[in-house]
Amino acid sequence: MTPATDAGRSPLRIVRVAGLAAVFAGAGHVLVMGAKSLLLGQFIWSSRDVVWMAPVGYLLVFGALAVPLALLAALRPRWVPQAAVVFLYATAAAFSVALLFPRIHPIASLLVAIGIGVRSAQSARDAGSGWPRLARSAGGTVAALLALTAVGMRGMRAWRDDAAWRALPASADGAPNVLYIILDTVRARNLSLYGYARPTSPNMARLAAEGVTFDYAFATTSWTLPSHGSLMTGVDAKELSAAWFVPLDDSTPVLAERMAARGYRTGGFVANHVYTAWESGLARGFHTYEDYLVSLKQVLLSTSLLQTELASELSAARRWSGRMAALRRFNLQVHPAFYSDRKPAERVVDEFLAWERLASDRPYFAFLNFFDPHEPYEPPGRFRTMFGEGKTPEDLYDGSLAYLDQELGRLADTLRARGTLDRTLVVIVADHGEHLGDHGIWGHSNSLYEQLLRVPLIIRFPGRVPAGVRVRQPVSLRDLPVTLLSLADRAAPPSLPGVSLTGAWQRSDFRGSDILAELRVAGRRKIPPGPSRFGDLHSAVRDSLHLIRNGDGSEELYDVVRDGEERTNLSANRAAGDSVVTWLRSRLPATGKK
Amino acid sequence: MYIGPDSLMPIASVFAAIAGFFLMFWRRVVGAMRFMLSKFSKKS
Repeated sequence: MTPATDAGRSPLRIVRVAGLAAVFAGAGHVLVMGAKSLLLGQFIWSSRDVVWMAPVGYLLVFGALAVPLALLAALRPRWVPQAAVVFLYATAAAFSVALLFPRIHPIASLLVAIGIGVRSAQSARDAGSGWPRLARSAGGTVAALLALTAVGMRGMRAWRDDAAWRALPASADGAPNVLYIILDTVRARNLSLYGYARPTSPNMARLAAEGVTFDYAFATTSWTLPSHGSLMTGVDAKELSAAWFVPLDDSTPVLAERMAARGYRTGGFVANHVYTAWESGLARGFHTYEDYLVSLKQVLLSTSLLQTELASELSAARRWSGRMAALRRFNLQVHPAFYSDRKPAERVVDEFLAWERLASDRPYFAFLNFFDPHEPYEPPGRFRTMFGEGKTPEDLYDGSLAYLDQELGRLADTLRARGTLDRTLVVIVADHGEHLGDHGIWGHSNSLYEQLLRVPLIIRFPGRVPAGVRVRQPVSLRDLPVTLLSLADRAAPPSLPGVSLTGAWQRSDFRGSDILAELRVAGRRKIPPGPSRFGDLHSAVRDSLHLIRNGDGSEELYDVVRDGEERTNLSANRAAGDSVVTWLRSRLPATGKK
Repeated sequence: MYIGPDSLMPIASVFAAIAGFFLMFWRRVVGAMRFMLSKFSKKS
């Protein structure tokens, strides 16, 4: 091969090298994710479509550089020697895979990658004209395997879901649909439905006027996965396997399985990719489960290079000073949990409505998870400046609530227009709330104060649930599964944990399950500011009193009715023999500093 | 540059760095080993 011939073919060769590097990087990415998920049982925080998304994502990222390189090679062939191109892309591919091992310092990862790049360039030079054919052959084989695996996995899922669907027993005559809406990170006190001054929930108020509203509904913990676990199993969070890096196991049946056993078709439409996606354990029992988006952004975020904090900071920076600061920090830590194409409420509603429309003689059980009020608070369009100038966290949080409420209104109106709303048991609840500077704390999963535990709860079902009723007795969210089943299936009393809340609007002396909450810190890599830094927290609620026992053994006692923000600690003021306090203390385990 | 001591295994990083250097200078390493082996075999 003459230098002139080599130079003439080099632009196309650059594109081929980029393509091969993308295939190998994608295959490496998929292998690492597969090993972590299947062999080590770890969360990988990736879409089930990562098998094709990762290679395509690397193709786009590497291709973006290949185009200008190819143009340069066409104009100035000697400036772009083949060995340098092979070195560059082999290094990039190896570095992309090495970044998936977070316990290895990025510098060490880069050194390994450079070493692989050097060896690849030397091999390419030694192989001479045979190298392109060899590399293409290997790359083609790997690409074919990836494509087959992607198609096979999708096909298997479709076949399995179809088989489960066909094996469904007949449903009871007149069985209603069940629509279980869980709002992620929504605290009751910021909803106008609960007296908040800003109009954040007019549509929820409309639905509440047609059903029962619970003024004091308490979650079983202050973060997503175990709270959803309680909402799906009827079991307190402390009795579930769900933990920071452990999914909900199959030792306890979930609502979707129970509904499918009653002949329901089941569908999950979730937006929280971190703790409600396919690997969380919450997808069990659903015939359809829509989590990650299939979008260009999700494809690009399926590559480790764009999951780094550096990439995130560069894309978020609006000024050059911000970009320079990000480059100075040069943080190459990969956080797949944090970076995915966020699914807005509008999309969750659209996915559900498209599925709901499918012709079927069966009732459905649908689970919707909305993520919009979760950090970072990014209300769309006009909702950003709906309250204030959109600069404070509370303004943005309230804007997110208002946007979510608008979509809930659209959902209800569409079902009403289709004539199915009144045949549907609708439950709207949140998994936990959010701190907005209360007690000097922000976010959630860091305390068990009212701001995190007290959540909205609305049950609407004309004919079986009265309209316009407000329940003042405190209740635990763990009682929702048995409530849903008792309302949906009157023929057979449900045999699952909890006490049906239907008694709450029938008797003024109603008491549900003990209202307990727990926040475990074991296994957590970073403990945020707040009471959780002292160890596990436990709390109990009875009547209007809320007792919190912190990890260092200290106690806090609040009257949630008279002191909704829990500013005044009553633990020193209550009489020694107070029966309610004694009862509350008896429900909490002793804790020590961890 | 950001370093997160709570998420790194220093030993694994050191091994990875050493492996990287070996790969970069593979030919020189192999050549040096062959040279030393040939010297050793001549002496014996």
